[in-house]
Amino acid sequence: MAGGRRRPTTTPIARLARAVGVVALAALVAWEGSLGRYSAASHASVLAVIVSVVLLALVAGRSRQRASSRTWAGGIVRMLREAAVWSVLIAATVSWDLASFVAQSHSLPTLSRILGAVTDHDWGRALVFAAWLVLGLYLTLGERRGPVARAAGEGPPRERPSTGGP
Amino acid sequence: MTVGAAVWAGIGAAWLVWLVASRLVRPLPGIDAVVKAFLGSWLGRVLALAAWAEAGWHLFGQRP
Repeated sequence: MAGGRRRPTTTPIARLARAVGVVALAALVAWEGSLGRYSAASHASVLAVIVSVVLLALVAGRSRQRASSRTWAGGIVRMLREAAVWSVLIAATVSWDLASFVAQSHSLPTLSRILGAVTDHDWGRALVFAAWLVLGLYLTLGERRGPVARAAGEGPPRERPSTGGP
Repeated sequence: MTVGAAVWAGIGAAWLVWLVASRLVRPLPGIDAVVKAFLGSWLGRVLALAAWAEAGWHLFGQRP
C-alpha cells in the first residue's frame, strides 16, 4: 500500500475494550428508548452523555486540533460562502423553527414537534438517540490531527496546530 | 395540510434535492464538507458540540 495511510496495530485488549464499548452503547440506546422524556432518569442520562462527550473532546483532542481558532475564524466565512446553498438551507431551517416556536400555534409545528411524533415511540426514541450519540462521537473524535500520521512522517499539519484546550 | 407542515415539506424537499445534487455533481460541496469545516478548530468544534448538546437536551428531555 504505497503512499496509503498505515493502519495502527491494535492489541487484543484494545479490541476487547472496543467491543465492550459498543455493547455498552447499544445497551444505553436500548435503555434510553424505554424512558419518558420527562423522567429524572432521562434527564440524568442525557446530561451524563453530554458531559462525557465534552470531557472526551478535551482529553482525546488535546493538541490534536488541525488549526487555531483564529485561523479557522478567518476561513470559515469564505467556506460558508462557497457552500452558499447549504448556508441558506441551514439558515432557513433554523429561522422557520424559531418563527414556529415564537408563534406557538398548532398550524405552525416546530421541527422538534415533528420529530416528537417519532420519539414518542420507544423504538423511535432509541433510533434517534443512537443517531444523536453517533453524531456526538463524530463531532468529538472526528477530523483530528492523528498521532499515527505524525509518527509515520506524513508531513506537517496543513495549518498551525492550536494549543491544548478550547 | 397546515401552512407550517407545507413549509416543512418544502424545506425537507430542498434538503433532499441538494443532498442528492451535491453527491452527483462533483465540485459542489456536500454537507459533510460543511461539518468537517466546523471541526477544523476548537472554536468550530465547541460551536458544533454546543448545538448538538442543545438539540439532544431539547429532543430527549423537553417537550418537542
